[in-house]
Amino acid sequence: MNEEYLVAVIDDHADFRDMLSDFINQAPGLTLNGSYESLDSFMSDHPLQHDLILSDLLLEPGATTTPLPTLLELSTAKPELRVLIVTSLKLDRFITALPPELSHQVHFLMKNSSFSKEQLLLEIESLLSNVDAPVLE
Amino acid sequence: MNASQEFSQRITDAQLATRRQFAEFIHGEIQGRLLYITSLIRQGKLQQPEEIAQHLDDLIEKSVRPLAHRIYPAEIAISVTSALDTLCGDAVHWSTSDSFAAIDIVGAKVGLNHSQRECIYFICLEGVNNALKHGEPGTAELTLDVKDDYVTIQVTNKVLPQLSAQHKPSKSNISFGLRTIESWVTRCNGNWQLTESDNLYTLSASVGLTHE
Repeated sequence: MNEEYLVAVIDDHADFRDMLSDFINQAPGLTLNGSYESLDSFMSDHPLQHDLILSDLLLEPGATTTPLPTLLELSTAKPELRVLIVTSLKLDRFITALPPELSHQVHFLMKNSSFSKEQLLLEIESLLSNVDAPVLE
Repeated sequence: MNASQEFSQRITDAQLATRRQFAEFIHGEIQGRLLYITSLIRQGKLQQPEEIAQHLDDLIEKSVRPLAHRIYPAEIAISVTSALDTLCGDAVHWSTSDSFAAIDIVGAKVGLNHSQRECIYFICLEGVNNALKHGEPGTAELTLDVKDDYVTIQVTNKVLPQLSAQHKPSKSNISFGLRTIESWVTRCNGNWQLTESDNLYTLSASVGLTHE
């Protein structure tokens, strides 16, 4: 990662949000550009200013909606944007059903027993390595 | 006691049994394992951060995650398919059609709202529980499809041979599980039926789709 990428973190759990923010702040090539507890606060702060968005899938206790449709729309509007969904939900079959044209822009990372700073940064590196990749038709 | 009072009584009994199970699981399983880990740390038998993390990860994956899923599968807000993957596991052979997968994607133009997702999940849950309870082991199958603007749910199973005819489930001889299915189906203005052919029981339910 040679450039300096601007990163936004969206998570309603302050501890986890702070942990992700710390990981980003410690990583070379990444700059924490915003930390948000809700989709509303994120969307009201120029959402397309970021290069990379880290977001949870459910942003409030008992959530019945998810920020995913909005994040997919942003990805479509800005092809160089990358989104990493960090979630504790097992969504394997769902992920494979997502639009293939967004598969290089939107990745998923499980908050499971192997979750670590190193794993997060590897996934981010993988996402950012294809920023110039053409959109699959 | 009339039928309505009897059903209310059975709901209260079921809620109480569920509360007991959750309390037992939290005290017995989760609290017990946390105390065990604490004890190992106090005795100096667990010292390395990685060892402690391994024990905690084990607790999360084997106890906390399954418990949370049993109380309410949060995946429903994202995908019924994913919630059902966890529900069925290896116990039930289950499948979805491509047309169901297409509407299960968040953001699809023709899709499911949250209430419909819940209805579909809990109809499947009750249907699968019913099949596992009364069916011949290894015969339960669940399929989800989309036909004519309806999601169709089908649960089939072979009935246990020892289940005598008078105890076989039917709409006229309705069990608590079937009554619950009926309640969920009514909630989403759907319909359901139970049929038998060659000792194979088929529960079918339909839930209408919402168009944006």
